[in-house]
Amino acid sequence: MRRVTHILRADVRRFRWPIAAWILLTAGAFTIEGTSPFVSDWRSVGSMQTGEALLALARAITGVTLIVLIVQAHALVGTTAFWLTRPFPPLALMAAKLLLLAALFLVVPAIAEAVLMSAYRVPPARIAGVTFDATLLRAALVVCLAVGAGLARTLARFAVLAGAVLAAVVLLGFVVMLIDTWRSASVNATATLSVGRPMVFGWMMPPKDATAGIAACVVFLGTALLLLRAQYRRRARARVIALAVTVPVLSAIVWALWPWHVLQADPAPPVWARDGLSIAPDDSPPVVYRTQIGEADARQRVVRLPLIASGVPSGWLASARLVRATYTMDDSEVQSRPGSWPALVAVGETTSSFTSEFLNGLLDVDRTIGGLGFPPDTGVEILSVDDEQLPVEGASGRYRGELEVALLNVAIVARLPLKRGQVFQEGAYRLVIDEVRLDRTPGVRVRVSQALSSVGRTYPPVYAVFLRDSGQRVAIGSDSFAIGQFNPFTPVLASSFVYGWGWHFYTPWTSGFQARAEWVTFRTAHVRTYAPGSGGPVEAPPVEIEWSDAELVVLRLTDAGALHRTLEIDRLVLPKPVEYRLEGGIQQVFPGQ
Amino acid sequence: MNVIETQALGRRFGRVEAVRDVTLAVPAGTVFALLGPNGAGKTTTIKMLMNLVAPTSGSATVLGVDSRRLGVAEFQRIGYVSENQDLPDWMTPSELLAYCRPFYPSWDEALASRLQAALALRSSGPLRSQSRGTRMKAALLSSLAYRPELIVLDEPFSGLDPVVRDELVRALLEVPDERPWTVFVSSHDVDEVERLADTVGFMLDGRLVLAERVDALLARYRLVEVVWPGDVPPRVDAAADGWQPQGSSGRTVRFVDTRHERPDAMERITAHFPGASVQVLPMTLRDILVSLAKRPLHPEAV
Repeated sequence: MRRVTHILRADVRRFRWPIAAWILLTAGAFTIEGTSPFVSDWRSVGSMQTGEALLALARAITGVTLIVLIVQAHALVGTTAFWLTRPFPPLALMAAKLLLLAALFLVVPAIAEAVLMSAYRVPPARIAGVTFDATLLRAALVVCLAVGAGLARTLARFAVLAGAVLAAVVLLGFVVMLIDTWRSASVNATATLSVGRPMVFGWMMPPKDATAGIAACVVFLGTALLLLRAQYRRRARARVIALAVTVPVLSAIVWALWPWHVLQADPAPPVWARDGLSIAPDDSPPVVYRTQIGEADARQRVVRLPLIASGVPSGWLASARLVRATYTMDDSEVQSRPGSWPALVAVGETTSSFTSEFLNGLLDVDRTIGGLGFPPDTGVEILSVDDEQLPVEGASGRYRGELEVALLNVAIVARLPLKRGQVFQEGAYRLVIDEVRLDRTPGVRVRVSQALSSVGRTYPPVYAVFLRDSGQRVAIGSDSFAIGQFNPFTPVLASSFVYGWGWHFYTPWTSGFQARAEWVTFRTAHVRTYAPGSGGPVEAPPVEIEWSDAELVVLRLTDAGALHRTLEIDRLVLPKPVEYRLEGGIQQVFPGQ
Repeated sequence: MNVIETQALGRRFGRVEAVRDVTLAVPAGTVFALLGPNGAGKTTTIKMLMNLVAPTSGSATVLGVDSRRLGVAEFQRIGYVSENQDLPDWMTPSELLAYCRPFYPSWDEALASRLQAALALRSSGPLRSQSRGTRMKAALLSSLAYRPELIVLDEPFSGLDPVVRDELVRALLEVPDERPWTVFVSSHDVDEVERLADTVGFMLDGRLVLAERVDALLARYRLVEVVWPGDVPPRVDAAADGWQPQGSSGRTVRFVDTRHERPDAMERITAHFPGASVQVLPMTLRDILVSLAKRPLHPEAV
């Protein structure tokens, strides 16, 4: 240990200026990340964003350069390095390097980020979770760079090597994508649902299980460390390069084939739903249409039917997605493929405009303008078969289908007066009103922060805000459905590989924590047009209201799990299909058109 | 006991055979100089001995350990200085010594101070801003201060002025105490080596063509000049007599007698050149090696 600290101290002294630069850049990056949501002036915001981008670039270059310099200070290749003929224990040297790298590239950012998260009142447990995620990814990246640095004699040679590796990674990404596509195809072919449920409520995308990603990351880290150890002990570059290829391959295999989804968020459905929830068809006739995605694909016939869920208490919404179905005609029987998309199920008596009524009831107003961004109430896909499996002129038969019914709880969690400084916080989610504007298009500038971690095993709730005037019994939804939930501009390549595309938008240099300012506006002259027969409002009338007495209502939307229900229809008459044409490559279905 | 032993040691780089079939032994307490022109394979041989390069054939032991397995314990007993070594040149000489000290249990601070004074090594700035001589002095000092049992020097005098060379040699001579120590030095500077070495090896084209004690070598080699009384002097047969022809002009024949230590050496010369005037001249180490390097070698002629 004495030798380890001796080597480490010498490296710190040698690289004191780059290390200081790195620490300053890191502190600067997190300071800007923490303070930028406070800035309101657009010019300043622009300047800050430019500064942030430049700082991120400088930080990346400094970080990579520093890692390479620290490793190459005691070169692992060539025959001229000083330490090679001195009694430097190779593993002590490696330990000294790793300790320094860990201190600079894991501990320093973790501390900076923990301070930042604390300033935004993120609970300690979530700070720990975010730190774990970010540290794991950063560790994998740092060790990966260290292995690369150890294989090259100089920074320039490392740059060449890194270029070659990047090209290989692109190729590997392509292969992984193919594997993933193949896996998805397999899952669909056996008519079972994938572990992470697909889109449940339109824009609400459930997180994939992070266990495979974490396991792959740990395997990557472990094997990369073994390689590094081999480099320090044997300095057999050719062998290490050959073995290095296996590191990402092994990780990718673990990621693709990992069988234990320990961290999969799988919320249990509420007790009332187990026995009380049922679904039944509406009185409306089914809508049948033909569709064809590609020239080579077989034409499909899809049947949609508005459904009603009963036994659902107030404050709950449900969606349904077809798992499997059988349609038995007099002389034949067809099996359906799984439904491609879930759709809302009406709750209550009628399927017409039930989302508007739901919101009116929840917000205790007579009129709600804007909504939660749900797709139009188009009915649930209950049958999807090859077109030639059903008679051209329609059919009549007995239907039996199994549907996955997902539940969503919507609740008011805060009523904030329209005043600067009002705060709503729940868990790691924090919303602060920084500015209020009450003109023709009222809006609030909010500072939103959220910290998401892969180890929570919960679906993080989504928050939506409404401007409500109780006196006039009107509420307007914001133009941002899910505020501060994710940042689509965050680079996601590495993180989506590890954690899956979902709520988790991680990058090695940022993490699951985000803080940003957002202007949330409420359009008073709000006109929305739905396709005829879609069930939604054709037009919402302009509203001219004085909003000084209004309040900001925060809704929490929580995914409450899913359960399977059987839908049986003794005599389901399928009319002649509507011909559907795909235009512009975008498929939209407007039944009854 | 031999501190260094090699058996048919060889190293190939692609199609180039840099070192071929080198077999040598360096007994403890000797100063072995590995000589030869540039590109002869000296540095590659040393790199194999120091486990910097893996041999592709043969084997070597250093301090009784297979050179491929040299580790911390062995390097605590070895001092290695090379002109090609990358010193931590951001350090001052004093910092270099402080950096090395914890790795050597036998570090002798008094010796380090004495050597620092003897080498006139000042700690005025980082090594990268120092002269080549100062860097070599620092490297040597950091390799001697723990009284290594084996000192391996790869071209230590290359490019140094005579004053610095002298200081380095004196520093080397400063080290020994009651313990036996061995020096293995490679160089193409024969004059400096001659002051130090008691055994020399000569490499040419990757082969070790000679390895012998210096006094024996000097006793064995003589330059012979024969003035033949007739018109055409007899041929010098190298293979048969250990004579290396050095050329002739007119009636004068020159050759190197590589076995002049034999009692009948003069008789053989006069028998081959009856009636001729024969002059036998002693050779310096430099003369011997130059003669070896110039002539195509026949094993029996060495």
